[in-house]
Amino acid sequence: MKLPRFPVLLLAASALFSPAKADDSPPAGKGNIHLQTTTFTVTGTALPLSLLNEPVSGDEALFLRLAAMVADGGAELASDQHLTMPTVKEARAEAIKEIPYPSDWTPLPDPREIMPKEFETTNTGISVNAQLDFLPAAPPNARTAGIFGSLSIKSIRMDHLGQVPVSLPQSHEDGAFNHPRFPTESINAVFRTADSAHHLISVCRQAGETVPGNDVWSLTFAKATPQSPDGKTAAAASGSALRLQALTFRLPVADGREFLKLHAAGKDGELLAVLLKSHAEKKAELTHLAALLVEAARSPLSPDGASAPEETEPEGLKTQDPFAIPKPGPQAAVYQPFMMGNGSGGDRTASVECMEEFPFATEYTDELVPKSFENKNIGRSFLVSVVRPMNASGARIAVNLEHWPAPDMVSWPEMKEGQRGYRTWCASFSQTSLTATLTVRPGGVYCLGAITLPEYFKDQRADSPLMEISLLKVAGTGSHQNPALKGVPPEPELEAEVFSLNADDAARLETLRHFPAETEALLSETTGSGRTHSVAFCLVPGDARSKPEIVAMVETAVPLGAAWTKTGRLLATEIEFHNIGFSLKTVNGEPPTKGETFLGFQHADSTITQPTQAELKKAADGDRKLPRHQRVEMEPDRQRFMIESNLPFPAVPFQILSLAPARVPAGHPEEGRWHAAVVRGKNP
Amino acid sequence: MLLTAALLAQFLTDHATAAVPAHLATTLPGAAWRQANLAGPVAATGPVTSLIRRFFIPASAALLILAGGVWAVAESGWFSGGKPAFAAGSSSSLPSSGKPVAEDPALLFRCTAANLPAKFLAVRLLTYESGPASDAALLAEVRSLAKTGGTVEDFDISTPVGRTGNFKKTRDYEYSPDWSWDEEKGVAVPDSVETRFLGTALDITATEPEDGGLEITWRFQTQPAEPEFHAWPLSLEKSGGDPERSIQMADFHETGAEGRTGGMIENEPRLLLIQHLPSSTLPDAAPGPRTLLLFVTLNPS
Repeated sequence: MKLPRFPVLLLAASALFSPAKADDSPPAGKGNIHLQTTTFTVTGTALPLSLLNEPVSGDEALFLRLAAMVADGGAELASDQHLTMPTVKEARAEAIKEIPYPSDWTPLPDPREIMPKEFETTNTGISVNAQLDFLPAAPPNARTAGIFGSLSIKSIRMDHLGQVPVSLPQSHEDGAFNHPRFPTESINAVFRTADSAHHLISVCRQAGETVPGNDVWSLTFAKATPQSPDGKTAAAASGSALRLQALTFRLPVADGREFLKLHAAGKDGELLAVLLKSHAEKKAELTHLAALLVEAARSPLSPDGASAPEETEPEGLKTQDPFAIPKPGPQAAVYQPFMMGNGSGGDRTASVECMEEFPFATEYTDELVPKSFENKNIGRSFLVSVVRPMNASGARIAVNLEHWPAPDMVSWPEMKEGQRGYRTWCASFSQTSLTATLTVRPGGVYCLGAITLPEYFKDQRADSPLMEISLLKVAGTGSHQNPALKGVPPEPELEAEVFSLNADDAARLETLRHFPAETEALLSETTGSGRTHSVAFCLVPGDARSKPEIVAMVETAVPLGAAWTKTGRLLATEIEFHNIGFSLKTVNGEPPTKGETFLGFQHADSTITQPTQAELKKAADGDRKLPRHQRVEMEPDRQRFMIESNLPFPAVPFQILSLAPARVPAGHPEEGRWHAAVVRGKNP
Repeated sequence: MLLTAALLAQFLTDHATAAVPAHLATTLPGAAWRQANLAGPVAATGPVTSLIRRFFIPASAALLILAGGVWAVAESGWFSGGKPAFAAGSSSSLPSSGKPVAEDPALLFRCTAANLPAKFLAVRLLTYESGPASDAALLAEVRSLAKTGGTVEDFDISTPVGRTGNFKKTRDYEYSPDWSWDEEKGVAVPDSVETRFLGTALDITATEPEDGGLEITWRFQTQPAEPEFHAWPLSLEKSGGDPERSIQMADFHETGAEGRTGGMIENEPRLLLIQHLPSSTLPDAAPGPRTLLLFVTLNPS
């Protein structure tokens, strides 16, 4: 990307020769901290993706570059706050616009109108909360070793209205029911700085799942300048911050499975390169990209200026609390307020969430106009917890990535495109999420997981089914960038897959199911010959102890009945929701015993046929019940199964969880086939 | 004042029998009532007019002179405690957790709030380094820039150490958070009316921390723009239907911050806050984003 040179030089010069830098007068005050938080927005993925190759130490240059882009119109300044605060006390700044809006309605005599009867107010705008303190340096040196604390930044906009289509009598076109939308970006971070420079604490696509072609990106910086009695900081404690960049690509299953061979060969860096190339060639969609600055050191500097002793990862599940320090050091009290406070999001070290509430109708008038709504959050989130602080081999972190796309809308009676008619609508929500625990170090690239998307998933293609692959790129600074660091061994990994076999091969598999090596060989052989194919697949790094989880689900709705309203409109009733999808996760609520854990593996597939208008009319004229076979052609009990197995840990062997005929409707491509669900663990 | 009263008396004498012009009456509130009375007793009765000329006009002049005197006395502050349209003032009180320090001399904090178009300073402020000299220079520049657009407002808070001083320049604003629709009249009817303040408020609590110096804890709140009304139409038609058939609700704009600043030194301006106000936090019709700045100077010379 070409930089606007003149503004960059001007800003750089102004930064270098600003009055404070040249100022030798006494410090402003004892113990003041000047905090600045700034958010820029840019359009297009070019700049966010360029950060993959940028070190954390380049943040100040990036800030100046973005400031210059604001000057020449290439970027927008979304927020900038400067606050003065002295100690651990919380400081806040906000600029808000209170927006009242109707939240519930009642019909009017004219069916083309509706009257608000309940109102709510949302505060849009920017709010910043900070809680910072000085890190002590070696006494009697009164200088500070830096600043440490928590930051919370929330931005809410109301820049567009959501519209629910409504059929209107005596009108030549459909109407619209307007809802305010409040896209919200929320950033929480444990923040540590000792260099009085701007640090990029998060990058995310702006909230706005319902905005077509939303390609606006927010880059948020924080800077805290300490003014200790001599106005300067001690030697910078560098090297503890990591920039974690999470990326999720959506691509055809055939391509994805091929690319994952690079992961199997331990070449996640090459996997990322291949996926980025596919994205550039528009063969893969980048559905999630977010970055966070993660403070990976837990202990502050010891009085002699050296890093506190490294801590070893505690045994067992206790590691889930990253800041449950087994042996509190002398400076533990400094950290306590920030770790336990709400500002850092409980035990999270950093998080960025970009959400908006999606309202969906729950009640209709007799004219089939929605009058009551419920809301569901849609958007993206990226959460990171440090499980074990940085040591010579890296930091162990838990990552959670989630994505709820804007739902598809299902309507009854179904209409052809462009056709008008009275109907009710229901949202079909999709969701992907993963939680993985792994050891990372600067410069590394790690596969976070892969999963095939179920049928009916948002934007799923019937002709070329899709899957998602997520990766993590890690950038750092200081000594931890040193290539002499110990290598990070490959992570344990869990895989689950559903195979489709013919009856003969299924019979052979049944005879071999207690012999893992032979079973795997048989599936490999039949897959190679084309007799067996994969129906669903997922993988996630981590062992059962770290509770890995990967999910791709879609919630679909079908009516069970129909009735006439008082004004003679046909209304679908008794809406039933079905979760269709694929997941692998540890079952909660079961007390694990040593060496064993419970895994939940769920694969639910179905073939849904929504009722036609004639079927709805027939039911409305009759007993108001839709006959099941006319309504939905699905076999939820036959293809959905939940298996809770006592799987040995850490090595999860290749294991067949189920083998059963695929009981699908007549004419379905899987008719007559058998489905085998398997799970396998890789434990290097 | 006397001259005005005399002129008014002469005016009333000359126009005592003149009827209110019909075209004017119809544009005033209560126009129907006035129209109904235009041809009534006042305009048509001769003896009444004569009485007015003889007694009412001199009495009116005397009343006006008296009213003028009362107004002058009120203006000089004799009748305080009324409710002005925009109340301004400062006071000090004990903070909830503070200790009374009655003997301490009052400190004077001069606070300066500036609201400028963002194009003036926003980009440069991105790399602003706060410090005693730079804060003073910035304040001077802000004052200068405000002359070409924007506002700068100074207000003083006087409070001793250990007490909370506050400044308010506010006015009450009535608004309706809940509405219903009167179908017969075809208008929106407020279900309730609430009052909130518009304007600027600042609290400062001065303390002397154990490690020396003077520290202030401050809380600032202001409305950078007037409320803006947003119409929520009743119509479900995409065109929005009849614009009269909608509910107008007020959007409020507010900026607030709180923080603490230590090491206060006399006559040295300190920057407390820079707040970029993006367009999304301002009225839709606002020409562009703004920058809000807040400074404080202890005991200015």
